[in-house]
Amino acid sequence: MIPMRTNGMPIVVGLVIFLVWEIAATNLWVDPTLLPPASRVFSALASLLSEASFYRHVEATLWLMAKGFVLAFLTGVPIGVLMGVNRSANASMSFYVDFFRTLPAAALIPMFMVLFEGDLARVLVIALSGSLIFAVACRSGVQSFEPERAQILSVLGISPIGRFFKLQMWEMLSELLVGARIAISLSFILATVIEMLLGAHYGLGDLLLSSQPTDKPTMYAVILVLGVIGFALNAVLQILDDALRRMGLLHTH
Amino acid sequence: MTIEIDRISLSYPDGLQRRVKVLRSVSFEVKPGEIVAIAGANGSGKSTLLRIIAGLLQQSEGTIRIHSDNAHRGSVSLVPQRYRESLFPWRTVWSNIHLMFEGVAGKQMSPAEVQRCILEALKTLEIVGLRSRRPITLSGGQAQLVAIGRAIAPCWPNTLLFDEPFSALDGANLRRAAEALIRVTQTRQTATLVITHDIDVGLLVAKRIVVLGHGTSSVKDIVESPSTGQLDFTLLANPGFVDCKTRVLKALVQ
Repeated sequence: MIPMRTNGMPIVVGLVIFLVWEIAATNLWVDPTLLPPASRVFSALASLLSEASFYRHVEATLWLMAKGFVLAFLTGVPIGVLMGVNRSANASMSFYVDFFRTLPAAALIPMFMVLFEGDLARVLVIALSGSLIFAVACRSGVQSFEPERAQILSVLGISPIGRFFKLQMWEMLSELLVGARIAISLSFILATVIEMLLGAHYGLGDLLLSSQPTDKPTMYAVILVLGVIGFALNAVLQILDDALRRMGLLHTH
Repeated sequence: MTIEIDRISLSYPDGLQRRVKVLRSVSFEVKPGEIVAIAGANGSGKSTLLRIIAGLLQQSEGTIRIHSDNAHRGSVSLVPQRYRESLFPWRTVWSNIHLMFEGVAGKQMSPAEVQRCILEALKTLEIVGLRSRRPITLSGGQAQLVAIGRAIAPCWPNTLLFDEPFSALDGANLRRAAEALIRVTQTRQTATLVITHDIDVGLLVAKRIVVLGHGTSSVKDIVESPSTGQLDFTLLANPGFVDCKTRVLKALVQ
């Protein structure tokens, strides 16, 4: 992992940005109706944090994201593993995986709105996009095992199924975690976009869009909250990655 | 356990309608309880030959016969040149060695027997203290000892194939590993092949050295070692030993 800077520089940079922002907005260098001063955004944030309804918005977004992410994991991992270990499965599926993976995920939203209803459509958009990321990560992870270890298993006469559970499953972990970090970011982005596009009446995406015309400080406060949640999700997976690496369970080729 | 290598050749297409010859009619034999060393210049096909014997690569011509009266017929232990990469990082040292008993041959043993064999291998190499460690925490020499330990753990006569097994070892560790190889080979009547670039060590542990030539490798010479079946460093100054070494070196640079 790239060591996180602990010398306080990020905090200093953040303070400078907020300071410049505050000065620019209060001195009317920018239109304060478009960019209100940082202090007003923080007070909007404080009042958001004190409202119970705000947490229902957070919960709705995270719950939507989590359902899509888990479904993506449960479908994408077996597909990727199958493609990784079986040549004909890979040959028959790789075009479709690559096609849908490179298709902008948001373009699927209208199609899923037509095919499915309500929450199911929202979850499926996230699940499909995320599952393709998991599939690609696992396909590559399963195939990139250390040949020396495979040789040891070969001379022992261990079956392909044994080879998967004794070797490939473990070798795959590194890339699976990289896939998980990309998939969780995408799931979070899509959850927010879906709440904006599908006219949901809850969720941070809806709160962001509904505050945009009349309440700019709240809009900026929601953006800050989204940033913090996104960072925290990534950090959780980074901590997991570090812990597994320290235990020697993950390795780089 | 006997390995008979009979006129083994290997060639493969180079993509330009020609065939690259790697090994040419290599023949020699490893009898039960014998260590045979293979020496050769870089790229002479030593590791390739080992992989053919291990069944990981198919020769173009010739036959390999592995005879055994034992129920564990055909079982092979391998220490590849990249020994550290051959260890499974998510397993402890004990569990890495346990792997040897998870294959076809090892499944015939009871858990108590397996435990006894693993412990014996760890004791032989004096690495019992490493049993709970993961490979990432081991030094180069310790990792090599674990790889050797894993290879010698099966308590039945098998084929031991070692590719540069002493490359990271010196001093007491080298002595321990070399003695373990000699003892296991003799007591279990295994057929042991050791690739080495260190002629001294090769002559000290092996009954003979097979020298592979440059380019398309064929056997240039087979030199009988004056070693007595025990690791004896005083042999290094023995005139007979020096003659053998000179003969090997001559064959190597031919």
